[in-house]
Amino acid sequence: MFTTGSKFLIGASVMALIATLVYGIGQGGVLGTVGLTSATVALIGLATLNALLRDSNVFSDDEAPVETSSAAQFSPPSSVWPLGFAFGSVVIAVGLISYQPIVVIGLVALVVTGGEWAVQAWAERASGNVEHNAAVRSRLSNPLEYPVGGAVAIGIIVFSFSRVMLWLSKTNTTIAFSVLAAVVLAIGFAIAYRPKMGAGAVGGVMAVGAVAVVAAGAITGLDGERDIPEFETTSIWQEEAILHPTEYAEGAEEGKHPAGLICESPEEFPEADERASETVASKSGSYQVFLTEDETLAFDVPGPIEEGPAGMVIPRSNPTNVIFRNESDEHRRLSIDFGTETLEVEGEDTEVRHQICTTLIEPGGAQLLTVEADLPTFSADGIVNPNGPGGEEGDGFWLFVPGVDTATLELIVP
Amino acid sequence: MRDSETGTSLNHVNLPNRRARTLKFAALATAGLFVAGCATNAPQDTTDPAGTNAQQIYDLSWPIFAIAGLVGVIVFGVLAFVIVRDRDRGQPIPEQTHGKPKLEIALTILPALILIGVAIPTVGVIMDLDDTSDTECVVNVTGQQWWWEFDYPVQDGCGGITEPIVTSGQMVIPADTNVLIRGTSRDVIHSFWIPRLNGKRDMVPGRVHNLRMQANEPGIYAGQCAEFCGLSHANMRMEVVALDDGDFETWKANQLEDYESPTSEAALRGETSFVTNCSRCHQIDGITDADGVPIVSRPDQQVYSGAAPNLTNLMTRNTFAGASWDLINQDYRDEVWEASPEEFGDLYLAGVTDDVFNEVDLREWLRNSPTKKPMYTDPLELEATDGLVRGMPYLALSEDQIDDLLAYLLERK
Amino acid sequence: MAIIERPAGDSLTYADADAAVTATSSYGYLRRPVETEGWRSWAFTVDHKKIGIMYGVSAMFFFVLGGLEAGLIRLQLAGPEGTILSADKYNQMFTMHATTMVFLFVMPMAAAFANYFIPLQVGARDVAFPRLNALSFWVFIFGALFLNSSWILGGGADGGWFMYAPNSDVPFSPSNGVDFWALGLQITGIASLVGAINLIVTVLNMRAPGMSLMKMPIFTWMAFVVQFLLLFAIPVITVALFLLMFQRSYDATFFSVEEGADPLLWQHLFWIFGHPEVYILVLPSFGIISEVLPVFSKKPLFGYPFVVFSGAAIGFVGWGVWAHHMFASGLGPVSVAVFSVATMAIAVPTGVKIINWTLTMWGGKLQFTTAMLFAVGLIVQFTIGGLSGVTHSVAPSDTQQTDTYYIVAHFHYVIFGGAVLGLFSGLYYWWPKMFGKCLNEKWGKWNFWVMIIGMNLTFGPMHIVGLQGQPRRMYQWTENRAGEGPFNIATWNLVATIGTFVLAIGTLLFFINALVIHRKQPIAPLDPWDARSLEWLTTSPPKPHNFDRTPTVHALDEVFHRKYEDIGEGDEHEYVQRSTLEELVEEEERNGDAHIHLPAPSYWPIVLAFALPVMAYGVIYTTWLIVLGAAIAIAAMFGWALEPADAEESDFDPPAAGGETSKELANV
Repeated sequence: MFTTGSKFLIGASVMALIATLVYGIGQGGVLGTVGLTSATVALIGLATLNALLRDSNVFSDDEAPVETSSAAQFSPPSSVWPLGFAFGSVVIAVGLISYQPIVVIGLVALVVTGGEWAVQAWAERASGNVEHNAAVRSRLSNPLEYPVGGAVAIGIIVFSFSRVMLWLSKTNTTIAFSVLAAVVLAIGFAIAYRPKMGAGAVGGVMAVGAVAVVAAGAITGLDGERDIPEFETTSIWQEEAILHPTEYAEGAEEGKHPAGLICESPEEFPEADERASETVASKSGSYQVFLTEDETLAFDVPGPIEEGPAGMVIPRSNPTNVIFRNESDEHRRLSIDFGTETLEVEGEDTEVRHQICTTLIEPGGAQLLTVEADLPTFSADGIVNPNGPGGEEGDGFWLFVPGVDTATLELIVP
Repeated sequence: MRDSETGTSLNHVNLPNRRARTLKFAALATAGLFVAGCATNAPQDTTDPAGTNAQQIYDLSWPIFAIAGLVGVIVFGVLAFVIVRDRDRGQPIPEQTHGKPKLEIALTILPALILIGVAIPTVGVIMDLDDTSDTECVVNVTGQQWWWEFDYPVQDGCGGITEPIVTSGQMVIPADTNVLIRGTSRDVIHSFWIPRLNGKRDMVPGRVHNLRMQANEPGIYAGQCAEFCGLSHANMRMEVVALDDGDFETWKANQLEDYESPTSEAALRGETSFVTNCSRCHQIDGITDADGVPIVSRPDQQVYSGAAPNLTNLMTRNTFAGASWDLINQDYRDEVWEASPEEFGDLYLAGVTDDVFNEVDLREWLRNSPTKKPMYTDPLELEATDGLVRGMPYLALSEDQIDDLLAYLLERK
Repeated sequence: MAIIERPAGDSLTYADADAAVTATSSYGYLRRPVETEGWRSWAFTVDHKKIGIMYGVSAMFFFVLGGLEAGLIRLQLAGPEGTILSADKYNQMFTMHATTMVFLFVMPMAAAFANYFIPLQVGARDVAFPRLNALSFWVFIFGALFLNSSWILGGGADGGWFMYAPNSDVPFSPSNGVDFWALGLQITGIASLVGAINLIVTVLNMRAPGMSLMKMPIFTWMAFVVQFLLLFAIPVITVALFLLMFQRSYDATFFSVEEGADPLLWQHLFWIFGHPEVYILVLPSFGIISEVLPVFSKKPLFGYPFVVFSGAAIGFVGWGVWAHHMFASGLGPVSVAVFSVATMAIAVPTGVKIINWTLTMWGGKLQFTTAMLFAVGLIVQFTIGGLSGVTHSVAPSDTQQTDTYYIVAHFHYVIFGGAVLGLFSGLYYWWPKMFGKCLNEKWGKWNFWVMIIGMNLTFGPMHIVGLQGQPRRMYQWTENRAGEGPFNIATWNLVATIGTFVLAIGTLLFFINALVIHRKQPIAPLDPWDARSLEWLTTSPPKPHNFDRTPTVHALDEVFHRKYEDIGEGDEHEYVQRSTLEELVEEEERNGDAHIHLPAPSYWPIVLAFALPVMAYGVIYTTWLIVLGAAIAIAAMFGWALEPADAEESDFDPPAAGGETSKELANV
């Protein structure tokens, strides 16, 4: 049969051929195609030569005939490493040509299979006894194979699992895992009641389970995550607009986004409103602010408080989670105006309005806004806040909804 | 077994009576010992409730203590009986029995029944204590290392509050009113606990937790942060002060009064000194700079938790530094704490006056606070917090400056 | 220089006898150690008895260390405004006191008994994986030393043993103490996991013929349940500790509130581990006294199946009550109610145990040896702890009691009264088995009474102090909040401190007894207590191979039934002693098995264990140490895999004249 070396070369040739075809047809780059074709031809040549020479294993001056050399005592057992090695080499080649990060995968495959191959090749010559040689190989490789293999396997399963969980909706997660738990329990019972059940059957069930998890992980991973309530990042873009007003204005002229500040605009800002992505769990006892159907702002804080308060009070210097619920019929955002602050804008000290806001929320939607006010309300005493009620009255901090004049609510920070 | 049976029958004549008497005596003695062995007037005594919530907990607990005590007495009685009766007196080896399943099952069901009896009222009280629908007044409570801040949001409750009130260390509430605490934390987890008014509730950063508070009568109720919160956990105390409605109105009005400029020379110098040394962190509402612009403190730029006690009405409270030290001297403190509900309001509202002022502790505090209360304020230790202190740092004030500051602060009420 | 050589014997067949390959039996330079004396015989041993003793000795060392920490804490709290410790040192002290007592004393002490007596009680020659057994011990000891090295490297952990986030994060605990704590517990957790798997396999697979699960000695049963608890609980704390490690050392944000995290995550993880941990601590002691009480009552354990199943039930229900540590955390009323009721439910199987112990003594023939005194002491003290536990299963009541000294009193009655007294009972009971001599009974009784008085003086007053409002973990208390009257909180604090020193004297009496008085004790008979279970069916101390002949088991109390015969008729019973243990053991020796094979000692467990703290230091100080540690670990794993299965023929002592069974003697 084929010797180990020729198996590697044959494997490499096949992979090179496949790579050539895939690349040649798929990408059509001339230089790459030529290079791959040359490699394929060279590999096929080497493989043929090697197969004829039997890995150059039998020296011309070897006194013992081929039949008695230890390597020739038995035909070498099958080996997957040459295939893996070849695969690694080709992946590196493909990676170099197309997408660099793939090279890492190829390198890992190369190192792993190369190492394993070296150990196996060495073990096959340890003695003339196949079983002993296998034992020798295990002793040398298992201390690394088991921990690394175990870690990789657990990593894959955990990752697949997390993909599935992120894909399922919250309710479905509960259902799915109740069912899963029941299935696991049932299998446990089955094994307990039939202790003589063959190891093959149990192993088969385990294997099917593992494959199912990985497959489900792959599918759901490709399908993407479920919609998770989003955490505002609009204030970053707001800041961007304030700090670089010139660029921002240019962007507006080019039609990239509307003119003006995000937190004061009822329109959609593609950069800000589409790229909000940080997520956060909404925790117990959040403050809630509603844009009601008749377009006024109402709020609900933990613990009932009688009607009539003038504004919502939050503690100073403490991040407070406020959920904005849009109950109107339009897309709306909730903004907060904290009065003026002095910023260095394009090299000059400029007074700007300190504002934060949510992204544009669809009717019926909700979003969390984390509000931290480091200054008390009275620091804005006497300074008119244009976003106050009616646009021109009142000082202090105000919650408002751009585009809805009636929706204002004072934010009081003691 | 034969022998031990005769043993039982021998004892049968006098045992039940004797045992019953012993049991009764033991129960009485235990209860008596416990009562006699306790402190009187302990300010944080959980067995001395002073409000409806704590009362409800106490009414649920003591029968359970009694049941537990009774079960204990029975178990120990049986054990003592066995120890006395069955000690080795040369009797033959007893029957090698492995048990009597029926007896076993009966003895399993018995404790289960007792516990079901305990479980039902427990669930009821849990639900009652979580009810917030009867709230008459809301106070925001914020914990941080190592003091409590109380702010009163604008509301119709609490007899109507039109402007927020901020205070610390002592939470003033109207007596006989259902107050709801809405609590959170600025740094680590703290726990708000006024033993005589209600059980404790952890105040967790990022979450808002509610806790009911009600005091039947005017008075002062001690508390202590009950969740380990770092270095000075032991020095994070608080007190709830209950005032009757009239006194509470007076207190509110006083808290919202306009800033009064210092009257004496020393106090005027103290004001300047305060602006230089203290106002970076401590807010005094109404204080302005030379141009008449209000001075706004920025503790968020100095302190890790982002806050420092508001000192506008410092001398209306009796304590400072996380309610760890008193602003009034020991005699007056005793007088306030032991005052009858009728007298209490006047004594408390009198605040800290010259003749009862405990100057010693406040002076030591201003001289070098970190030696008085362990805090992280050494610049060398603050790498992990980007230089922000946790607590009040050493300010290198001269004795003259301290004199002036004391004079100024004594007028803050 | 070949690392690997060829196999010996007939397995090699060649067409040509002159083939170039030759074979030897071993894999070359990596021979196995064979020393039977000196430090090597301990450092490289795989004998479960030696490992058990090493576990015991190190646990006792940490008991003293934890006790010293407790003494300092109590001294600080003896009077108001104590100044013996600074706030910082005090916080470290109570954190490390709890950590030391839980992880480095009670758990390894229980592991000591489990290691020593499970193989003996099930009639096995050793545990299933002897080298892994050595590994768990060495991992434990290196983890423990690593953890305590924090004292000289900037101070111990200061966040409390529960280490609540976010107080455990770097800004709030800038020293490396918490890092040492997290990594140290991670390492000792590995030891527990490895040990658990080992003992589970041992119990399931290596029981003597005839020993069905329901004929297994009760200590083995309870220890078996504990191993399962460990197997499931340790992974949870492992996850939590990893999160903490990444939070502190690698800027993760699992507990950073400002990044949207919820600090209650840590509490759930910690208590899902922490509550089963309580049962991990007390169940071994329950097992021990369930052995001791029948022996000194001359009766079998009353309701053996009930005790077994209540132990297992505790093991199960123990997983559903973790949130009762969090009644004040703000979980919401429904969760609180559910966990409140579940907590009451777990009192039932615990009550069953107390009832069964009492009924075991009922109608018995009670001998109050020291071991028995400790066992009865456990019943009394644990009952007090259990009943105070019922008072705070009532959630509203618990909100007044949690985080006060009442809780401190409760769990010290449970853990000192429940676990530690049981361990002492076991020490007095099994001492002659382990060392061939009994501990002095007179000293033992002094030891018991001083300890019991000390314990009640220390922890009893804490009930009152707690109910009257003194929170835990405060480095100072103040006169202003102590109340009035002759028995105010101040008095009781002083009494508790005095009690601590009485307790310390009681413990000291044990050490004098074990280290000094013990030397002058006469050699004990093989059966000093008229014992009932299988571990007594061998010499004291047991031979390296435990049993000359693997015993066949016919009854639950096998040894009792071998000694006594029931000559009564019908319902009448009369027991006559037919033979003594000396005679039984002699018979076993006469019929001993030939060619007993025991595992050879190994160098590698200690080397592999050593690699772990090296890597842990690396996490704290420099990545290069991680690399070095990993290199040591990989080298040790290879050494472990490549060392020969056995020591070479020439390493063994020659058989005694005419004998053939000397192999194992050289092999230990």
